[in-house]
Amino acid sequence: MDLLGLPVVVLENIFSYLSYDEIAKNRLVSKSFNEICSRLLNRGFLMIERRHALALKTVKAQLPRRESERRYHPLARHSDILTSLETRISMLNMTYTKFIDNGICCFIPGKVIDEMRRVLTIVETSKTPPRAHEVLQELRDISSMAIEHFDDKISPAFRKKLQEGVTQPAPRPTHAVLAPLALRQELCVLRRRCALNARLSLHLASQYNKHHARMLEYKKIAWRQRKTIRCMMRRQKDQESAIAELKKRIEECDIKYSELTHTNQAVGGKAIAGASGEVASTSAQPLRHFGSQIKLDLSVLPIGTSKRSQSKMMPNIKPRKPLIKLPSLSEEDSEPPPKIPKMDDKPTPSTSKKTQSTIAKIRGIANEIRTLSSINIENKMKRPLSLNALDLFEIECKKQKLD
Amino acid sequence: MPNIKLQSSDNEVFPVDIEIAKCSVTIKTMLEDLGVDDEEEEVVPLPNVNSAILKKVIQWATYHKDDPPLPEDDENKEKRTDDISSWDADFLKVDQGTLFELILAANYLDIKGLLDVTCKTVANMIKGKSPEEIRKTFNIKNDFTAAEEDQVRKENEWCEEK
Repeated sequence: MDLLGLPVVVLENIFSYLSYDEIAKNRLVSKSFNEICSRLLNRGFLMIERRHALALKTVKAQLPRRESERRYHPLARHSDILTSLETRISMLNMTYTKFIDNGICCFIPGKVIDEMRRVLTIVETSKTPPRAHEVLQELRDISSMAIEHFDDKISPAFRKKLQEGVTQPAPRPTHAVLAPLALRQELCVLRRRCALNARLSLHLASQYNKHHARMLEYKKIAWRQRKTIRCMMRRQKDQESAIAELKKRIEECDIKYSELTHTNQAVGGKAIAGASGEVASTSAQPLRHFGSQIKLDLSVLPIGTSKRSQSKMMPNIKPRKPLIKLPSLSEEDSEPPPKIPKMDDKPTPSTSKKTQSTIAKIRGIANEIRTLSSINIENKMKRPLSLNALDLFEIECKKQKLD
Repeated sequence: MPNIKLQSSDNEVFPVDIEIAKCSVTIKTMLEDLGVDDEEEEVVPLPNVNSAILKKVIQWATYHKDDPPLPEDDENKEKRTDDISSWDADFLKVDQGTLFELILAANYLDIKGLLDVTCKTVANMIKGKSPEEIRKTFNIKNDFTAAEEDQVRKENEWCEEK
Protein backbone atom coordinates (compact mmCIF):
# COMPACT_ATOMS: atom_id res chain seq x y z
CA MET A 1 0.00 0.00 0.00
CA ASP A 2 1.50 3.30 -1.10
CA LEU A 3 0.38 6.89 -0.99
CA LEU A 4 -0.89 7.02 -4.58
CA GLY A 5 -3.01 3.93 -3.88
CA LEU A 6 -5.26 6.06 -1.68
CA PRO A 7 -8.49 7.41 -3.10
CA VAL A 8 -8.31 10.87 -4.70
CA VAL A 9 -10.61 12.27 -2.04
CA VAL A 10 -8.21 11.17 0.66
CA LEU A 11 -5.21 12.54 -1.28
CA GLU A 12 -6.97 15.86 -1.72
CA ASN A 13 -7.70 15.82 1.98
CA ILE A 14 -4.00 15.25 2.69
CA PHE A 15 -2.94 18.05 0.29
CA SER A 16 -5.46 20.41 1.83
CA TYR A 17 -3.14 20.54 4.85
CA LEU A 18 -0.39 21.97 2.63
CA SER A 19 0.00 25.53 1.45
CA TYR A 20 -0.70 26.29 -2.22
CA ASP A 21 2.95 27.16 -2.64
CA GLU A 22 3.89 23.67 -1.50
CA ILE A 23 1.20 22.15 -3.65
CA ALA A 24 2.58 24.04 -6.66
CA LYS A 25 6.08 22.78 -5.91
CA ASN A 26 4.90 19.20 -5.38
CA ARG A 27 3.65 19.13 -8.95
CA LEU A 28 7.14 17.98 -9.82
CA VAL A 29 6.90 14.71 -7.83
CA SER A 30 5.03 12.71 -10.42
CA LYS A 31 2.30 12.88 -13.03
CA SER A 32 -0.36 11.89 -10.54
CA PHE A 33 0.91 14.47 -8.10
CA ASN A 34 0.91 17.05 -10.91
CA GLU A 35 -2.67 16.17 -11.77
CA ILE A 36 -3.94 16.38 -8.22
CA CYS A 37 -1.96 19.53 -7.43
CA SER A 38 -3.05 21.29 -10.63
CA ARG A 39 -6.68 20.55 -9.81
CA LEU A 40 -6.20 21.85 -6.27
CA LEU A 41 -4.48 25.04 -7.55
CA ASN A 42 -7.29 25.78 -10.03
CA ARG A 43 -9.87 25.11 -7.37
CA GLY A 44 -7.93 27.30 -4.93
CA PHE A 45 -7.97 30.26 -7.29
CA LEU A 46 -11.69 29.82 -7.95
CA MET A 47 -12.36 29.67 -4.23
CA ILE A 48 -10.37 32.85 -3.71
CA GLU A 49 -12.39 34.59 -6.40
CA ARG A 50 -15.65 33.57 -4.75
CA ARG A 51 -14.45 34.44 -1.30
CA HIS A 52 -13.33 37.87 -2.49
CA ALA A 53 -16.61 38.52 -4.29
CA LEU A 54 -18.57 37.62 -1.15
CA ALA A 55 -16.37 39.78 1.07
CA LEU A 56 -16.64 42.74 -1.30
CA LYS A 57 -20.39 42.36 -1.46
CA THR A 58 -20.78 42.30 2.33
CA VAL A 59 -18.46 45.28 2.81
CA LYS A 60 -20.14 47.31 0.08
CA ALA A 61 -23.52 46.58 1.57
CA GLN A 62 -22.37 48.04 4.87
CA LEU A 63 -20.74 51.13 3.36
CA PRO A 64 -22.70 54.37 2.96
CA ARG A 65 -23.64 55.52 -0.51
CA ARG A 66 -21.96 58.92 -0.43
CA GLU A 67 -18.28 59.03 -1.28
CA SER A 68 -17.47 61.62 1.42
CA GLU A 69 -19.06 59.45 4.09
CA ARG A 70 -17.34 56.35 2.79
CA ARG A 71 -13.86 57.80 3.35
CA TYR A 72 -14.29 57.99 7.10
CA HIS A 73 -16.25 54.78 7.48
CA PRO A 74 -14.54 52.02 9.54
CA LEU A 75 -14.90 49.70 6.57
CA ALA A 76 -13.21 52.13 4.19
CA ARG A 77 -9.91 50.31 4.34
CA HIS A 78 -11.55 46.95 3.88
CA SER A 79 -13.17 48.30 0.79
CA ASP A 80 -9.88 49.71 -0.50
CA ILE A 81 -8.07 46.43 0.02
CA LEU A 82 -10.82 44.43 -1.60
CA THR A 83 -10.96 46.80 -4.57
CA SER A 84 -7.23 46.51 -5.08
CA LEU A 85 -7.47 42.77 -4.70
CA GLU A 86 -10.19 42.77 -7.34
CA THR A 87 -7.79 44.43 -9.76
CA ARG A 88 -5.15 41.81 -9.00
CA ILE A 89 -7.59 38.97 -9.42
CA SER A 90 -8.83 40.33 -12.73
CA MET A 91 -5.25 40.67 -13.96
CA LEU A 92 -4.49 37.10 -12.95
CA ASN A 93 -7.72 36.00 -14.59
CA MET A 94 -6.76 37.65 -17.83
CA THR A 95 -3.38 35.97 -17.72
CA TYR A 96 -4.30 32.42 -16.80
CA THR A 97 -8.01 31.72 -17.28
CA LYS A 98 -7.87 31.32 -21.06
CA PHE A 99 -5.21 28.60 -20.77
CA ILE A 100 -6.80 26.98 -17.74
CA ASP A 101 -10.11 26.71 -19.58
CA ASN A 102 -8.34 25.07 -22.50
CA GLY A 103 -6.65 22.60 -20.17
CA ILE A 104 -3.18 23.68 -21.21
CA CYS A 105 -2.02 24.63 -17.74
CA CYS A 106 -3.15 25.19 -14.19
CA PHE A 107 -3.06 28.25 -11.98
CA ILE A 108 0.68 28.10 -11.62
CA PRO A 109 1.48 30.62 -8.85
CA GLY A 110 0.30 28.81 -5.74
CA LYS A 111 2.09 31.38 -3.63
CA VAL A 112 -0.20 34.09 -5.00
CA ILE A 113 -3.21 32.10 -3.81
CA ASP A 114 -1.64 31.85 -0.35
CA GLU A 115 -1.01 35.59 -0.30
CA MET A 116 -4.54 36.38 -1.39
CA ARG A 117 -5.85 34.06 1.29
CA ARG A 118 -3.77 35.90 3.85
CA VAL A 119 -5.06 39.27 2.69
CA LEU A 120 -8.62 38.08 2.69
CA THR A 121 -8.22 36.63 6.17
CA ILE A 122 -6.97 40.03 7.35
CA VAL A 123 -9.90 41.79 5.75
CA GLU A 124 -12.38 39.31 7.19
CA THR A 125 -10.95 39.12 10.69
CA SER A 126 -9.32 42.46 11.42
CA LYS A 127 -11.44 45.44 12.39
CA THR A 128 -8.70 47.90 11.58
CA PRO A 129 -6.62 46.43 8.82
CA PRO A 130 -3.42 48.12 7.68
CA ARG A 131 -3.53 50.39 4.65
CA ALA A 132 -4.16 48.82 1.33
CA HIS A 133 -0.73 49.33 -0.15
CA GLU A 134 0.92 47.83 2.94
CA VAL A 135 -1.21 44.71 2.91
CA LEU A 136 -1.09 44.26 -0.82
CA GLN A 137 2.59 45.02 -1.29
CA GLU A 138 3.65 41.41 -1.26
CA LEU A 139 0.71 40.33 -3.38
CA ARG A 140 1.43 43.04 -5.95
CA ASP A 141 5.05 41.98 -6.15
CA ILE A 142 4.56 38.27 -6.45
CA SER A 143 1.52 38.48 -8.72
CA SER A 144 3.37 40.85 -11.03
CA MET A 145 6.33 38.54 -11.05
CA ALA A 146 4.15 35.55 -11.81
CA ILE A 147 2.27 37.37 -14.56
CA GLU A 148 5.44 38.73 -16.14
CA HIS A 149 7.14 35.36 -16.01
CA PHE A 150 4.10 33.68 -17.50
CA ASP A 151 3.73 36.26 -20.24
CA ASP A 152 7.41 36.18 -21.13
CA LYS A 153 8.33 32.55 -20.85
CA ILE A 154 5.29 30.33 -20.62
CA SER A 155 2.40 31.81 -22.58
CA PRO A 156 4.09 32.02 -26.01
CA ALA A 157 4.41 28.26 -26.12
CA PHE A 158 0.86 27.90 -24.83
CA ARG A 159 -0.41 30.32 -27.46
CA LYS A 160 1.21 28.18 -30.11
CA LYS A 161 -0.44 25.14 -28.59
CA LEU A 162 -3.75 26.97 -28.54
CA GLN A 163 -3.41 28.03 -32.18
CA GLU A 164 -2.56 24.49 -33.15
CA GLY A 165 -5.46 23.34 -31.06
CA VAL A 166 -7.69 25.79 -32.90
CA THR A 167 -6.42 24.86 -36.35
CA GLN A 168 -6.50 21.16 -35.69
CA PRO A 169 -10.09 20.78 -34.66
CA ALA A 170 -11.15 23.10 -37.46
CA PRO A 171 -12.25 20.28 -39.78
CA ARG A 172 -14.28 18.79 -36.97
CA PRO A 173 -17.47 20.70 -37.59
CA THR A 174 -17.63 19.79 -41.29
CA HIS A 175 -16.82 16.22 -40.38
CA ALA A 176 -19.44 16.29 -37.72
CA VAL A 177 -22.03 17.60 -40.16
CA LEU A 178 -21.16 15.25 -42.98
CA ALA A 179 -20.61 12.11 -40.96
CA PRO A 180 -24.07 11.28 -39.70
CA LEU A 181 -25.62 10.42 -43.03
CA ALA A 182 -28.29 8.46 -41.28
CA LEU A 183 -29.29 11.58 -39.43
CA ARG A 184 -29.56 13.54 -42.67
CA GLN A 185 -31.63 10.80 -44.24
CA GLU A 186 -33.89 10.78 -41.25
CA LEU A 187 -34.26 14.52 -41.54
CA CYS A 188 -35.19 14.14 -45.21
CA VAL A 189 -37.79 11.52 -44.31
CA LEU A 190 -39.16 13.78 -41.63
CA ARG A 191 -39.39 16.68 -44.06
CA ARG A 192 -41.27 14.51 -46.54
CA ARG A 193 -43.60 13.37 -43.80
CA CYS A 194 -44.14 16.98 -42.80
CA ALA A 195 -45.08 17.90 -46.37
CA LEU A 196 -47.47 14.93 -46.59
CA ASN A 197 -49.02 15.82 -43.29
CA ALA A 198 -49.47 19.40 -44.44
CA ARG A 199 -51.27 18.20 -47.57
CA LEU A 200 -53.39 15.80 -45.58
CA SER A 201 -54.35 18.51 -43.15
CA LEU A 202 -55.34 20.81 -46.04
CA HIS A 203 -57.47 18.06 -47.58
CA LEU A 204 -59.12 17.36 -44.24
CA ALA A 205 -59.79 21.04 -43.78
CA SER A 206 -61.51 21.28 -47.20
CA GLN A 207 -63.55 18.15 -46.42
CA TYR A 208 -64.57 19.60 -43.13
CA ASN A 209 -65.68 22.77 -44.87
CA LYS A 210 -67.75 20.76 -47.35
CA HIS A 211 -69.41 18.74 -44.64
CA HIS A 212 -70.06 21.85 -42.65
CA ALA A 213 -71.76 23.50 -45.63
CA ARG A 214 -73.84 20.36 -46.20
CA MET A 215 -74.83 20.24 -42.60
CA LEU A 216 -75.99 23.83 -42.78
CA GLU A 217 -78.06 22.97 -45.88
CA TYR A 218 -79.67 20.02 -44.11
CA LYS A 219 -80.44 22.23 -41.19
CA LYS A 220 -82.18 24.68 -43.49
CA ILE A 221 -84.16 21.85 -45.09
CA ALA A 222 -85.16 20.50 -41.73
CA TRP A 223 -86.28 23.96 -40.67
CA ARG A 224 -88.36 24.29 -43.82
CA GLN A 225 -89.91 20.88 -43.31
CA ARG A 226 -90.79 21.73 -39.78
CA LYS A 227 -92.44 24.86 -41.04
CA THR A 228 -94.44 22.95 -43.66
CA ILE A 229 -95.49 20.38 -41.08
CA ARG A 230 -96.78 23.16 -38.87
CA CYS A 231 -98.61 24.64 -41.85
CA MET A 232 -100.15 21.27 -42.73
CA MET A 233 -101.29 20.77 -39.16
CA ARG A 234 -102.99 24.10 -39.28
CA ARG A 235 -104.65 23.20 -42.57
CA GLN A 236 -105.76 19.86 -41.23
CA LYS A 237 -107.39 21.61 -38.31
CA ASP A 238 -109.12 24.03 -40.67
CA GLN A 239 -110.30 21.17 -42.84
CA GLU A 240 -111.57 19.26 -39.85
CA SER A 241 -113.52 22.27 -38.75
CA ALA A 242 -114.83 22.72 -42.28
CA ILE A 243 -115.85 19.05 -42.43
CA ALA A 244 -117.63 19.43 -39.11
CA GLU A 245 -119.50 22.41 -40.47
CA LEU A 246 -120.49 20.55 -43.58
CA LYS A 247 -121.74 17.64 -41.52
CA LYS A 248 -123.89 20.02 -39.56
CA ARG A 249 -125.29 21.45 -42.73
CA ILE A 250 -125.99 17.99 -44.09
CA GLU A 251 -127.82 17.11 -40.94
CA GLU A 252 -129.82 20.30 -41.21
CA CYS A 253 -130.59 19.46 -44.81
CA ASP A 254 -131.68 15.98 -43.79
CA ILE A 255 -134.03 17.40 -41.22
CA LYS A 256 -135.44 19.84 -43.73
CA TYR A 257 -135.80 17.12 -46.28
CA SER A 258 -137.67 14.86 -43.92
CA GLU A 259 -139.95 17.72 -42.95
CA LEU A 260 -140.60 18.49 -46.54
CA THR A 261 -141.31 14.87 -47.40
CA HIS A 262 -143.91 14.83 -44.61
CA THR A 263 -145.58 17.95 -45.86
CA ASN A 264 -145.35 16.75 -49.43
CA GLN A 265 -146.88 13.42 -48.51
CA ALA A 266 -149.73 15.24 -46.90
CA VAL A 267 -150.24 17.49 -49.91
CA GLY A 268 -149.68 14.68 -52.43
CA GLY A 269 -152.16 12.37 -50.61
CA LYS A 270 -154.91 14.97 -50.86
CA ALA A 271 -154.18 15.55 -54.52
CA ILE A 272 -154.35 11.85 -55.29
CA ALA A 273 -157.55 11.45 -53.37
CA GLY A 274 -159.10 14.39 -55.24
CA ALA A 275 -158.10 13.18 -58.66
CA SER A 276 -160.46 11.04 -60.81
CA GLY A 277 -159.23 7.53 -61.26
CA GLU A 278 -158.68 8.06 -64.97
CA VAL A 279 -155.25 6.89 -65.69
CA ALA A 280 -153.59 4.94 -62.96
CA SER A 281 -151.55 1.94 -63.68
CA THR A 282 -150.44 0.11 -60.59
CA SER A 283 -146.82 0.30 -61.62
CA ALA A 284 -146.88 4.04 -62.29
CA GLN A 285 -148.37 5.06 -58.94
CA PRO A 286 -145.34 5.06 -56.76
CA LEU A 287 -143.52 6.90 -59.51
CA ARG A 288 -146.23 9.52 -59.71
CA HIS A 289 -146.16 9.94 -56.05
CA PHE A 290 -142.36 10.31 -56.11
CA GLY A 291 -142.49 12.76 -58.96
CA SER A 292 -144.92 14.94 -57.08
CA GLN A 293 -142.56 14.91 -54.20
CA ILE A 294 -139.71 16.02 -56.40
CA LYS A 295 -141.78 18.77 -57.88
CA LEU A 296 -142.50 20.07 -54.47
CA ASP A 297 -138.91 19.75 -53.58
CA LEU A 298 -137.90 21.79 -56.53
CA SER A 299 -140.41 24.45 -55.77
CA VAL A 300 -139.50 24.74 -52.09
CA LEU A 301 -135.78 24.18 -52.00
CA PRO A 302 -133.39 26.73 -53.48
CA ILE A 303 -132.34 24.19 -56.06
CA GLY A 304 -132.64 23.71 -59.75
CA THR A 305 -131.52 21.36 -62.45
CA SER A 306 -130.03 22.44 -65.69
CA LYS A 307 -128.81 20.48 -68.56
CA ARG A 308 -125.31 21.76 -68.00
CA SER A 309 -125.11 20.73 -64.42
CA GLN A 310 -126.78 17.54 -65.20
CA SER A 311 -124.36 16.69 -67.94
CA LYS A 312 -121.52 17.67 -65.69
CA MET A 313 -122.60 15.54 -62.84
CA MET A 314 -123.84 12.57 -64.79
CA PRO A 315 -122.36 12.70 -68.23
CA ASN A 316 -123.44 9.16 -69.14
CA ILE A 317 -127.08 9.70 -68.55
CA LYS A 318 -129.04 11.30 -71.35
CA PRO A 319 -132.40 12.91 -70.78
CA ARG A 320 -135.11 10.74 -72.14
CA LYS A 321 -138.66 11.33 -73.02
CA PRO A 322 -141.01 9.93 -70.49
CA LEU A 323 -142.42 6.66 -71.63
CA ILE A 324 -145.21 6.81 -69.20
CA LYS A 325 -147.42 9.75 -68.88
CA LEU A 326 -146.70 11.18 -65.56
CA PRO A 327 -149.33 12.73 -63.45
CA SER A 328 -148.09 16.26 -63.30
CA LEU A 329 -149.62 19.35 -61.88
CA SER A 330 -150.21 20.67 -65.35
CA GLU A 331 -151.98 17.48 -66.39
CA GLU A 332 -153.96 17.21 -63.20
CA ASP A 333 -155.38 20.65 -63.79
CA SER A 334 -156.66 19.59 -67.18
CA GLU A 335 -158.27 22.85 -68.01
CA PRO A 336 -155.55 25.35 -67.46
CA PRO A 337 -153.15 24.05 -70.14
CA PRO A 338 -155.11 25.37 -73.07
CA LYS A 339 -155.22 28.63 -71.19
CA ILE A 340 -151.54 28.96 -71.14
CA PRO A 341 -151.07 29.48 -74.82
CA LYS A 342 -153.77 32.02 -74.57
CA MET A 343 -151.88 33.81 -72.03
CA ASP A 344 -148.86 33.44 -74.23
CA ASP A 345 -150.58 35.02 -77.19
CA LYS A 346 -149.68 38.42 -76.15
CA PRO A 347 -146.12 37.99 -75.53
CA THR A 348 -143.58 37.43 -78.26
CA PRO A 349 -143.33 34.01 -79.94
CA SER A 350 -139.94 33.64 -78.38
CA THR A 351 -141.46 33.61 -74.93
CA SER A 352 -144.00 30.94 -75.91
CA LYS A 353 -141.22 28.86 -77.22
CA LYS A 354 -139.40 29.36 -73.95
CA THR A 355 -142.29 28.13 -71.91
CA GLN A 356 -142.56 25.07 -74.08
CA SER A 357 -138.92 24.34 -73.74
CA THR A 358 -139.10 24.78 -69.98
CA ILE A 359 -141.97 22.38 -69.79
CA ALA A 360 -139.98 19.92 -71.82
CA LYS A 361 -137.10 20.46 -69.46
CA ILE A 362 -139.22 19.84 -66.46
CA ARG A 363 -140.48 16.66 -67.96
CA GLY A 364 -136.96 15.59 -68.71
CA ILE A 365 -136.01 16.32 -65.15
CA ALA A 366 -138.89 14.28 -63.92
CA ASN A 367 -137.70 11.41 -66.04
CA GLU A 368 -134.28 11.78 -64.74
CA ILE A 369 -135.53 11.76 -61.21
CA ARG A 370 -137.32 8.62 -61.89
CA THR A 371 -134.18 6.98 -63.12
CA LEU A 372 -132.26 8.28 -60.21
CA SER A 373 -134.80 7.19 -57.73
CA SER A 374 -133.05 3.90 -57.55
CA ILE A 375 -129.78 5.65 -56.58
CA ASN A 376 -129.05 6.45 -53.01
CA ILE A 377 -130.84 9.42 -51.57
CA GLU A 378 -127.71 10.83 -50.18
CA ASN A 379 -126.24 11.15 -53.61
CA LYS A 380 -129.25 12.99 -54.65
CA MET A 381 -128.94 15.29 -51.74
CA LYS A 382 -125.59 16.45 -52.82
CA ARG A 383 -126.72 17.50 -56.18
CA PRO A 384 -128.91 20.43 -55.25
CA LEU A 385 -125.89 22.11 -53.70
CA SER A 386 -124.41 22.50 -57.13
CA LEU A 387 -127.42 24.10 -58.72
CA ASN A 388 -126.85 27.55 -59.87
CA ALA A 389 -128.95 30.68 -59.86
CA LEU A 390 -130.07 30.35 -63.48
CA ASP A 391 -131.76 27.07 -62.81
CA LEU A 392 -133.52 28.55 -59.86
CA PHE A 393 -134.72 31.36 -61.97
CA GLU A 394 -136.06 28.94 -64.58
CA ILE A 395 -137.90 26.97 -61.98
CA GLU A 396 -139.41 30.13 -60.56
CA CYS A 397 -140.61 31.12 -63.99
CA LYS A 398 -142.11 27.74 -64.60
CA LYS A 399 -143.97 27.86 -61.31
CA GLN A 400 -145.40 31.21 -62.13
CA LYS A 401 -146.59 29.98 -65.48
CA LEU A 402 -148.12 26.93 -63.99
CA ASP A 403 -149.96 29.08 -61.49
CA MET B 1 -22.68 -1.36 28.53
CA PRO B 2 -24.29 -2.92 25.43
CA ASN B 3 -21.89 -4.37 23.00
CA ILE B 4 -21.77 -4.78 19.29
CA LYS B 5 -19.67 -7.27 17.46
CA LEU B 6 -17.52 -6.00 14.61
CA GLN B 7 -16.31 -8.66 12.25
CA SER B 8 -13.15 -7.93 10.29
CA SER B 9 -12.47 -9.03 6.72
CA ASP B 10 -10.51 -12.01 8.09
CA ASN B 11 -13.55 -13.03 10.19
CA GLU B 12 -12.19 -11.92 13.51
CA VAL B 13 -14.95 -10.63 15.77
CA PHE B 14 -14.33 -7.70 18.07
CA PRO B 15 -16.89 -7.02 20.76
CA VAL B 16 -17.14 -3.25 21.05
CA ASP B 17 -19.21 -0.94 23.17
CA ILE B 18 -21.90 0.52 20.95
CA GLU B 19 -21.09 4.08 21.95
CA ILE B 20 -17.47 3.54 20.87
CA ALA B 21 -18.59 1.87 17.64
CA LYS B 22 -20.80 4.86 16.94
CA CYS B 23 -17.67 6.98 16.47
CA SER B 24 -17.94 5.53 12.99
CA VAL B 25 -20.69 7.33 11.15
CA THR B 26 -21.01 4.30 8.86
CA ILE B 27 -21.75 1.93 11.76
CA LYS B 28 -23.98 4.51 13.47
CA THR B 29 -26.09 5.01 10.33
CA MET B 30 -26.25 1.28 9.77
CA LEU B 31 -27.52 0.63 13.30
CA GLU B 32 -30.04 3.46 13.06
CA ASP B 33 -31.30 2.48 9.63
CA LEU B 34 -31.60 -1.21 10.46
CA GLY B 35 -33.27 -0.45 13.79
CA VAL B 36 -31.01 -2.75 15.73
CA ASP B 37 -31.69 -2.65 19.46
CA ASP B 38 -28.89 -1.68 21.74
CA GLU B 39 -29.45 -4.80 23.86
CA GLU B 40 -29.02 -7.19 20.98
CA GLU B 41 -25.51 -8.28 20.28
CA GLU B 42 -25.34 -7.81 16.54
CA VAL B 43 -22.40 -8.86 14.39
CA VAL B 44 -21.52 -6.13 11.92
CA PRO B 45 -19.32 -7.36 9.11
CA LEU B 46 -16.65 -4.93 7.93
CA PRO B 47 -15.24 -6.55 4.80
CA ASN B 48 -12.92 -3.62 3.96
CA VAL B 49 -11.03 -3.66 7.24
CA ASN B 50 -8.64 -6.36 8.39
CA SER B 51 -8.28 -7.41 12.03
CA ALA B 52 -5.00 -5.53 12.66
CA ILE B 53 -6.39 -2.26 11.40
CA LEU B 54 -9.78 -2.82 13.04
CA LYS B 55 -7.97 -3.42 16.30
CA LYS B 56 -6.11 -0.13 15.88
CA VAL B 57 -9.28 1.71 14.95
CA ILE B 58 -11.08 0.32 18.02
CA GLN B 59 -8.10 1.36 20.13
CA TRP B 60 -8.18 4.89 18.75
CA ALA B 61 -11.96 5.11 19.12
CA THR B 62 -11.85 3.84 22.67
CA TYR B 63 -9.27 6.49 23.56
CA HIS B 64 -11.24 9.30 21.89
CA LYS B 65 -14.74 8.14 22.91
CA ASP B 66 -15.30 11.19 25.14
CA ASP B 67 -13.93 13.74 22.65
CA PRO B 68 -16.24 16.63 21.78
CA PRO B 69 -17.65 16.53 18.26
CA LEU B 70 -15.32 18.10 15.72
CA PRO B 71 -16.30 21.41 14.16
CA GLU B 72 -17.22 21.54 10.48
CA ASP B 73 -14.38 22.23 8.10
CA ASP B 74 -13.94 25.82 7.02
CA GLU B 75 -12.35 25.78 3.63
CA ASN B 76 -11.26 29.39 3.96
CA LYS B 77 -9.24 28.64 7.06
CA GLU B 78 -5.73 27.42 6.74
CA LYS B 79 -5.55 23.97 8.18
CA ARG B 80 -2.98 23.34 10.81
CA THR B 81 -0.91 20.17 11.00
CA ASP B 82 0.97 20.88 14.20
CA ASP B 83 -1.95 20.21 16.53
CA ILE B 84 -1.63 16.45 16.69
CA SER B 85 -1.79 15.20 20.26
CA SER B 86 1.17 13.22 21.62
CA TRP B 87 -1.00 10.12 22.12
CA ASP B 88 -2.09 10.30 18.50
CA ALA B 89 1.50 10.91 17.39
CA ASP B 90 2.64 7.85 19.32
CA PHE B 91 -0.35 5.90 18.12
CA LEU B 92 0.52 6.74 14.52
CA LYS B 93 4.11 5.83 14.78
CA VAL B 94 3.55 2.95 12.47
CA ASP B 95 4.77 1.96 9.07
CA GLN B 96 3.40 3.79 6.03
CA GLY B 97 1.36 0.78 4.99
CA THR B 98 -0.49 0.67 8.29
CA LEU B 99 -0.90 4.44 8.18
CA PHE B 100 -2.48 4.32 4.74
CA GLU B 101 -4.60 1.34 5.80
CA LEU B 102 -5.76 3.36 8.77
CA ILE B 103 -6.58 6.25 6.44
CA LEU B 104 -8.59 3.89 4.23
CA ALA B 105 -10.38 2.37 7.23
CA ALA B 106 -11.12 5.83 8.67
CA ASN B 107 -12.45 6.91 5.28
CA TYR B 108 -14.60 3.76 4.95
CA LEU B 109 -15.92 3.85 8.49
CA ASP B 110 -16.29 7.64 8.28
CA ILE B 111 -14.37 8.43 11.45
CA LYS B 112 -13.53 12.08 10.91
CA GLY B 113 -11.14 12.47 13.83
CA LEU B 114 -9.02 9.52 12.82
CA LEU B 115 -9.02 10.55 9.15
CA ASP B 116 -7.95 14.09 10.02
CA VAL B 117 -5.13 12.98 12.26
CA THR B 118 -3.81 10.40 9.81
CA CYS B 119 -4.00 12.85 6.88
CA LYS B 120 -2.21 15.46 8.96
CA THR B 121 0.52 12.93 9.69
CA VAL B 122 0.92 12.23 5.97
CA ALA B 123 0.83 15.97 5.19
CA ASN B 124 3.55 16.50 7.76
CA MET B 125 5.57 13.84 6.00
CA ILE B 126 5.24 15.83 2.77
CA LYS B 127 5.73 19.28 4.22
CA GLY B 128 9.07 20.94 3.77
CA LYS B 129 10.37 18.30 1.47
CA SER B 130 11.55 18.71 -2.06
CA PRO B 131 9.89 16.66 -4.80
CA GLU B 132 12.79 14.27 -4.80
CA GLU B 133 12.58 13.78 -1.03
CA ILE B 134 8.87 13.16 -1.32
CA ARG B 135 9.48 10.56 -4.00
CA LYS B 136 11.96 8.87 -1.71
CA THR B 137 9.74 9.06 1.36
CA PHE B 138 6.78 7.51 -0.33
CA ASN B 139 8.62 5.46 -2.87
CA ILE B 140 7.07 7.28 -5.79
CA LYS B 141 8.48 6.86 -9.25
CA ASN B 142 9.05 9.99 -11.29
CA ASP B 143 7.03 9.13 -14.37
CA PHE B 144 7.51 12.52 -16.06
CA THR B 145 9.30 12.71 -19.36
CA ALA B 146 12.22 15.11 -19.38
CA ALA B 147 10.23 17.65 -21.40
CA GLU B 148 7.24 17.40 -19.12
CA GLU B 149 9.39 17.78 -16.03
CA ASP B 150 11.19 20.69 -17.63
CA GLN B 151 7.90 22.37 -18.48
CA VAL B 152 6.63 22.07 -14.88
CA ARG B 153 9.95 23.26 -13.54
CA LYS B 154 9.88 26.19 -15.95
CA GLU B 155 6.39 27.10 -14.87
CA ASN B 156 7.47 27.14 -11.24
CA GLU B 157 10.58 29.17 -11.85
CA TRP B 158 8.89 32.52 -11.36
CA CYS B 159 9.30 32.45 -7.58
CA GLU B 160 12.72 30.88 -7.54
CA GLU B 161 14.27 33.83 -9.34
CA LYS B 162 14.14 35.79 -6.18
